[in-house]
Amino acid sequence: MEADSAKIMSRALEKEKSVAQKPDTALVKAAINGDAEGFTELCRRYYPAMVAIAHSILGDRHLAEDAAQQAFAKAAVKLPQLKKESRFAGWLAVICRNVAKDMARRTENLRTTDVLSTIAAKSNDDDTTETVREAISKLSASARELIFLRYYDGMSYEQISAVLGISEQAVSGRMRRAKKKMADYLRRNGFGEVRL
Amino acid sequence: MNKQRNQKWLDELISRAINTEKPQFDTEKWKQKYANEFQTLLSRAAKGDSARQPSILKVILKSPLTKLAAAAVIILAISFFSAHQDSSEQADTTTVSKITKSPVEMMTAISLERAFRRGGIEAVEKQCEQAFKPIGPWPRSLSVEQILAEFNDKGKSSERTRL
Repeated sequence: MEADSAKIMSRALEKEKSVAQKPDTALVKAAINGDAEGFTELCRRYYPAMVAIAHSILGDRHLAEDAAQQAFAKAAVKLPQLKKESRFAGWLAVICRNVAKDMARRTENLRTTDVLSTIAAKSNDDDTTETVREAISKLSASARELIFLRYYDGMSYEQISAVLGISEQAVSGRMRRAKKKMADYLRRNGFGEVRL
Repeated sequence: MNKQRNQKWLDELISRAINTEKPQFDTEKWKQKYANEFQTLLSRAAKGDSARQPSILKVILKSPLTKLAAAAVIILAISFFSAHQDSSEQADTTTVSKITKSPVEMMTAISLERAFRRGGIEAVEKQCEQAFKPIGPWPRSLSVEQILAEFNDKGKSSERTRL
């Protein structure tokens, strides 16, 4: 009996491994044809990125997770409308952004400054961290999204470029500009030595 | 060197500020929360490939070769249709010429019925005009009965001459 259950478990693990090794396009194709495992693997892959995007808009981790999950639910329904399987990540990011914006409108939390400063006030972080959060909140929505994608899950430029649908060079350029803006803000707020 | 150090320092600060803890996707929880959406996803498996049947238009527009082939088919169809239309018009005129052999034949019930089917009351009038042409114009003072009587006589005489 125990041997049987062990066999079943190992088979399930093997299947999970094989699904995890598949490229996005194969998983998307499978999900379009109703393969639940393929779709959940895609969810697992892109969950951190979607949470990062939603967090950059909503400024709240829990709301961001809700938004990401809702985005996956919408994607599950709308998946047959996707024209190119290779653009799944970018398509999903658009859905997630829209869901997060809707959520922000509903909860009237679009101004991330307030949320970030609230979080900063709640936690016992030092002044430096709080100032950095302020610097992030002063960035444009797209730059903030980029910062979140990069530092939330340590995504590579290649992964970020897939999610945002832009080239790696563009990601690198935008990142440099965003960081420079942050450095300028920090310098103006008492961090005299910061120069990038 | 100083720039690099600043870069690293800023990286650390940002990481700390965003307070990252990798979010984990809970599949079972998601399935429960969005049961309807998950069912929609599963329902596509039942439908199979038919759920994503590519439309004919998409297939045609995919490559320039299929586009050209489609254009050629359309052109052929149009030319065939127009040629067919011309021939049917010609057929109509031949039938009219056949029918308008003589005024008597023109005035038979069958010819009039054919004319009516072909073009309604206007076609009947046209046929009558063509039939009456060889007979010549009719004086207005004549009554319809007289015209018909004369017409019938002429018809009989023309039949007789033909016999």
